[in-house]
Amino acid sequence: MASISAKRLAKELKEIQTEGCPVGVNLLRADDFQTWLFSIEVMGESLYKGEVQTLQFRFDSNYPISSPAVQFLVRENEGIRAPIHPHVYSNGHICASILGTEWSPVLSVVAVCVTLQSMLASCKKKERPVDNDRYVLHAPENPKKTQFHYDDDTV
Amino acid sequence: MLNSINDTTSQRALMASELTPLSVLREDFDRESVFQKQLDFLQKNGFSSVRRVRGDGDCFYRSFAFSFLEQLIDEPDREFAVMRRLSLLDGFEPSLKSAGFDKDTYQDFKEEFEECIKAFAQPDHTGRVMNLQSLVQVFQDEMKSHAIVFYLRLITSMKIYEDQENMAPFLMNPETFDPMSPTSFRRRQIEVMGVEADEPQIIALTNAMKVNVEVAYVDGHTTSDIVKFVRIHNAQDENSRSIMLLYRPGHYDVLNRGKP
Repeated sequence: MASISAKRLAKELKEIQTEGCPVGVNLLRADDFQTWLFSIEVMGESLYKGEVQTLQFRFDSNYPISSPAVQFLVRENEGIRAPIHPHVYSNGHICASILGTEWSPVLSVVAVCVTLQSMLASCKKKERPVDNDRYVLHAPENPKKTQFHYDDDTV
Repeated sequence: MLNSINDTTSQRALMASELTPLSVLREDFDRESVFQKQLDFLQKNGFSSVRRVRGDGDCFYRSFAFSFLEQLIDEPDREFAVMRRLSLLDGFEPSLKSAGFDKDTYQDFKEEFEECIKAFAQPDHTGRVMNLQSLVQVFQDEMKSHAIVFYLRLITSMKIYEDQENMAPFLMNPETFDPMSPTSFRRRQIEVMGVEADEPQIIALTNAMKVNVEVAYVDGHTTSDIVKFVRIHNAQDENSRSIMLLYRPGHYDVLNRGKP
């Protein structure tokens, strides 16, 4: 019997392929059940008009009981950078409660994309988190290993 | 107190293979403390042991699920008992939908619970039906155990949604005691793994599952050394046995009668 994790990811992928992604979100790569890539763009008027970001999901065998590891993809040499946002570090790590303490197994990959899209859409000022440099210097490779402090529980 | 119990139980197996006699549990507490006297009271009243469950914030749901399934072992008509439980779960479908849950996101968890119930009547590939030992193994399996716990969390959330008018005054943040809206309470205090259950969750789940639950509070608070029992009875069958839980501050385990 396939694992819960594989069954759920297969179901999510099938739904994305048959019904498509929400507006502004596109599946770039899902060759396996370990890493998926999406492009994400804020539609309409926003500080990020015209910018397309790449969002990376990594799944462990306990997904969806445990949250996916989600971050913006950063490839400096290819000019791929994380969006400038008070909750997004320059290494792509995101401070959002739904990716940590408020992750729920009823959420899905698409639900996360939509939440992060609206996090960008509602941004008032493009700036990095105040502790960006310090965090990035010592950050673990996997953002799930960071215990973020959420001071704004709207995301 | 709360921290010390969590520290000693958070690294254990999800579900203990062996029962822990109350006389052993007693050693966790200071001599002559109210806790010890409360455990002595339970022993005098026919309780003998607990089955320890990991202190990871899911202990209420895990203890509840284990005890709910363990009762199937002694059912004289297992086929019928299994069928009744399966139809109870199927009966939740419309309510889960109204509570906003998409079947695709919970179907796998429900199936895990159903498989476990069915195994009490249907032999597996080795020809054996579920027994106590194999049930413990299911609960020690990280993914199966968590899947069952999460399904019960959804049932709890669904019930709070259904009864929100009555429940709303009792829904609060467990740390600040600030009132919480039913939506926020469900999202933050129930639908997330590792968040402990308080009375509203216990009442909701017990109501939904139509069972009797009795919780013995070994909380060190009483001055008369007597244990407070909170009884929530919802079983339709008068002879139905209760799910017995032992509460120590911040933690639940399965409580057993009889010989350890």
